[in-house]
Amino acid sequence: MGLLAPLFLFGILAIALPVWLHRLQTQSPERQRFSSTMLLEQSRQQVHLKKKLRYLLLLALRIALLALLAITFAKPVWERETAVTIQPGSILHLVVVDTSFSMQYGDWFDRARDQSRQIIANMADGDLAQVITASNTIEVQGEPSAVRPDLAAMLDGLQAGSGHLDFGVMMSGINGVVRDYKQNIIIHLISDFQSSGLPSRFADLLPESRSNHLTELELYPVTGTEIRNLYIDTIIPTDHGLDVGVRGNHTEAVEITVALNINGELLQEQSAMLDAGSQATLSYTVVEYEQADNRVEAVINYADGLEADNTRYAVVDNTPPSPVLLLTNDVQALPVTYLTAAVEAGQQGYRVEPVNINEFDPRVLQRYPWIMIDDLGIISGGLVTSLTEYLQAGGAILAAAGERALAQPQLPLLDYTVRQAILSSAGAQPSAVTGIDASHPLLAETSGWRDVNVMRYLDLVLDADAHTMVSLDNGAPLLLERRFDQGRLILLTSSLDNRWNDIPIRPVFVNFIAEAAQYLSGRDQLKRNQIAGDFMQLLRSGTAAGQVVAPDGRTVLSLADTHRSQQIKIELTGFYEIYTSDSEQLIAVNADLRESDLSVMAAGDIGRWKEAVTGSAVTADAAGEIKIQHDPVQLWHILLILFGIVVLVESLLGNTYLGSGRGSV
Amino acid sequence: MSAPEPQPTRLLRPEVLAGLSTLDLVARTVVEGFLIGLHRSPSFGFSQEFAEYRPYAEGDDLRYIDWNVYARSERTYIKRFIGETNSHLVLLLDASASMGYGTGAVNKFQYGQYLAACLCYMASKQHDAVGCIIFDEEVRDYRPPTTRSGNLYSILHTIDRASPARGTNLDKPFRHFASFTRHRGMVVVISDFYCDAEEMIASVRPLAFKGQDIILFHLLDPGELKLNFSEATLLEDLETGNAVEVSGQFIREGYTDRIGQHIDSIRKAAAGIGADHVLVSTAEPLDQALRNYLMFRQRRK
Repeated sequence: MGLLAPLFLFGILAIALPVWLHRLQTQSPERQRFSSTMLLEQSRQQVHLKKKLRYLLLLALRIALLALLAITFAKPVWERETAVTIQPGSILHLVVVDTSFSMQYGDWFDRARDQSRQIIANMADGDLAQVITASNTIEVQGEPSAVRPDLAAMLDGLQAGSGHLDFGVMMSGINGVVRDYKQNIIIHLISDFQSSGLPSRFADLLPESRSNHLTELELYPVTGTEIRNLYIDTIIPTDHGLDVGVRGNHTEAVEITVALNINGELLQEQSAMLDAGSQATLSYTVVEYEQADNRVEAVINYADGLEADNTRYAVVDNTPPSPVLLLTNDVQALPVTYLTAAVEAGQQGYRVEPVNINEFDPRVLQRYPWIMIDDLGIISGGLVTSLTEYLQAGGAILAAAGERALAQPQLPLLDYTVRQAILSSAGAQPSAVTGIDASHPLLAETSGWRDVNVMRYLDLVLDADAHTMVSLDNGAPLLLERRFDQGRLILLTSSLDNRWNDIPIRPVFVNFIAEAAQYLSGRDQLKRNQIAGDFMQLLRSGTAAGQVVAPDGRTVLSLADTHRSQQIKIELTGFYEIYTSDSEQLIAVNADLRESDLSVMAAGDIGRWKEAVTGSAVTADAAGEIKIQHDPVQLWHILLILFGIVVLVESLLGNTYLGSGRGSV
Repeated sequence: MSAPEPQPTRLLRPEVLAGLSTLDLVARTVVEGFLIGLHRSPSFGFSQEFAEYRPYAEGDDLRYIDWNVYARSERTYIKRFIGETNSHLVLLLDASASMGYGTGAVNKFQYGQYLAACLCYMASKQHDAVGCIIFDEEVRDYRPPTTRSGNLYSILHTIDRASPARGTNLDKPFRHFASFTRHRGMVVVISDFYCDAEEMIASVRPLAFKGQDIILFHLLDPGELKLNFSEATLLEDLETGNAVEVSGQFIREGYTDRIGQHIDSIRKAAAGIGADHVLVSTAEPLDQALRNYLMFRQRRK
C-alpha cells in the first residue's frame, strides 16, 4: 500500500472545518440563558444524547467525505501480489542512458558510459541488451543484441546533447518500447536524476506491468557529491540596452566576469560578486543595433563543471518595418485608418504606405511582396493589367469591396459577376457568419468570425478557382481566395469601414490582418529565441526557396526540402540562420534552463521509485518458474465510488435532520 | 355598540419607565401619578394629619405638648400625627445575577430598582427614615435609615449604580441588618427568592422576632411564570452557569406546577412569621406593589 501523490494528504486538514462548524452548531442555538435552574428538572437526558449522537454520525460522514477526497487525490496504490509464470527465454536489458544537457557536467557522461559498459559486461550469456538514449525524446540505438563489442561500440558513439529530460515522458516512451517485447525486461536507467526532471505525478515514473513477463527497473545515479554550476538565465532587452541575469547553485561567494558580445564583437565586460546561492542582474548599455537580427552572446568567465551553459544566446530583432502599399481613392478614409492601425499593430514589422489611386505609378508594384486595396471598385483601365501581371508573378493582394464596387456589374481583376448587392437597412437583422474553413492557414489561428455582423456585402457569382474561406448564413461568400498562378488575392466581399459591417471594430480584425500579412508575404514568423529540443516550423509558399544553417555550419535542409514546408528539430545551442529569397533571419537556441539547475533527486525518492517497481528478481534460470510479482493497483476508482455513497448518505441524513424540526445540521 | 373605553392607567408601564433617564425621575413620575389616583379612595392616605391626643409621659419631647389644651384643662397632652407613627423603612434589594433575567423591556432587577426607588420616594414624602441594603451573596452596599435631607438622593444613587451579578444569599443581608437595627420598623425585601423557603425564613425570622414588620416583594418575569419554549431546550443558569436540558413535556406541564409550589412555599413561610408576601410580575405596572405597600403600612399602625 502506498501513495503516488502523498502531498494531497494535507487536504485531510480540511476536516477541521466540519468539526468546528459542528461544534458551533451543537453549542449555540439551543442553549438559552435562564434566571435559575433551581426549579428545573434535568429531564429526558437521552434527547440531548440522541441529538449528540446524530450530530456525531453526521460529523463522521462529513469527515469521511473530506478524508476520502484527500486520499483519492493522493492516489493510493495497493501492491497486488500476482503469481506470474516466467516464460523461458533470455532477459532483455534496456540500457537507458540520459543524454540531456546536464549530463555534460564534468565526467558524468563518462561515468554513465562506464556504467553502461559494466551492465553489458555483466549480463548473462544468452541475454540481450539494447541501448536507448533519453533526452527530449527517447531514441532506440539499434536492435537488441547479445554481441558485447557491438554494444560497447554503440556506447562509444553517444554524447550528451542539449535537450531536457522529463522522466515521466521518458517512461512513457520506454513503455512503448517495452510493450513490443514478449520477454522479461530489466530497465537500467543511468542518469543524473535531476529534480527538475520529475513529473508532477509519481505514477508517471512507473513502467507498465505486463502479463506473464516481468519488468524490473534498476537506477544508477552518476552524480558526485560536490556540484557547482553558474549559468546565465536571462538576456532581456531594456530601453537602454540589455539586462543579463546570472544565477547558480554555488556554495560559496564567487567573483564572476560576464562579457557581452553583439554580432561577434565584445561590447563590454562586467564583474560582480555573487554570494552563495544568490543571483545577480548586470545591465549593459547598447547604443546602436544593426538594422537586422543582432546576435547577442553573454559569457560568464568562470570555470565550473558545466561550461556549456556559461554562454547564453539571444537575438534582438532590429529589422526596419517593410513597406506595404495600400491603394485607395481617399487616404483619409476610414478603411485606411483601420488597415494601417491593424497592420502596424502586428509584430511582423510592416509600415503601411497609403497611395491615392490617381497618383499611383504601377511600376513600383514589384517592390512590395503584397499590397492592399480598400475598395476593389477603384481599379480600372491599365492598372487592372498591371495588378494581374503582379499577381501572376507571385504577388499577393488583400482587397475589399466598397462603395465604388457597388456600381460595377463585374468586379475588376476577378471578373466575378455581382449577382446582387445586399444592402440591409438600418434596424434589419444583420447576416451572421456560419461557415469558416479552419483548415486554411489564414484562418487556422484566428477566432471570432462568428461574432461578426454584416449589413452590406456583394453576393458574387464565383468560378471554380475561387475558394470560399468564410461564408454567411445564406451561403454567400464573405471572404474568398483566388489564385493567379504563383500569386493570390484575398477578397472581403464587404467593405473595410464599419458602415457595411463591424469587422474592423471586432478583435478578430487585428488577428486576421496579422495572419493575412504573414500568409500573403510568405514570410515565416519565427520565434527568435528558442529552446534546444523544440521544433521550428518553416512555411514555404510559391517558389520561394530557403535554407537553414545550424550553429555548427551544417546546412539542415536538403536541396529538395528547401521548397517545402518543414518542421525542423533544433538540437544545438547557438544561432540558427534561416535564409529565404527575401529575408535572412536568426534564431537563438539555448538549453532548457531546468537543465542548468543541477539539484538532484533525494536518495529516498530514488529508493521509492525503485521500490515501487521492484518485483521478484529476474534471473536467467527462471525459466518456467512461478514468481510473485507486485503489481500496483490504483484504488482511486474504488474510493470515488465510496465517496459517492458517502455523499448520498450524508445528503439523506442531513435532509432528515433538517426535516425533523430540530434543525441546525 | 361602541367598544369599551380602556381603563386609564395611573402608572406608566415598565417599558415606558425604562425610557426615563434617572431613577429619581422614575420614582417621582410613578409616585405622583399614583397619589393623584388615590384621591378617590378614602381608605388610604398619609400626611401630617392630626391623629389623637395622649397624655404626656416622661421622656416625651416637650415640643409636642399642646399648650392650648394645657391652658384649657391644665393637663399636658401630646398631639400625635399620622406621620409620627412612621419610624424606619429599610429596603433590601436583591442584586444577584438571576435578577438580571427578563423577557420584556425591563428585567427583574430594573423593575426592582423602580419599585425600590418609588418606595423610598413615597416614604421620604412621609418623613420616614429610609435605608437600603443591596445584596447578592454578600452585602454589596448599605445606607442606614435616616431622615436627613439629601438622604433620598443618596439612596436612589445607591440603588441606581447597582447591577445584577453573582448568586443569592439572604442570610448575610438579614444578619447584617439585624446587627445594626435598634428600632422597630418596616423591612421591604425585593427579590426573586430563588432559594429554599425554609432557609429564607430561617434568615428572616430573627427580624420578625425583634418586632420588625416585613413585606416580601416576590418579583418574577412572565417568562418565569410560564416558560416560553416550545420544545426541549438547554437552559443555562445565570448565577451558576450550569446547564440543564428540559424536555418539552416538562416545559408544558411540570414547570408550571413547580413554580406554583415554590411561590406557595415562600408565601406560607412568610405567613408563618407574620410577613406579607406580594407576588409581582414585571410585566405589570407598579400599582399593585405600591398599593400593597400602603395597605401593609396601614395595617401596622
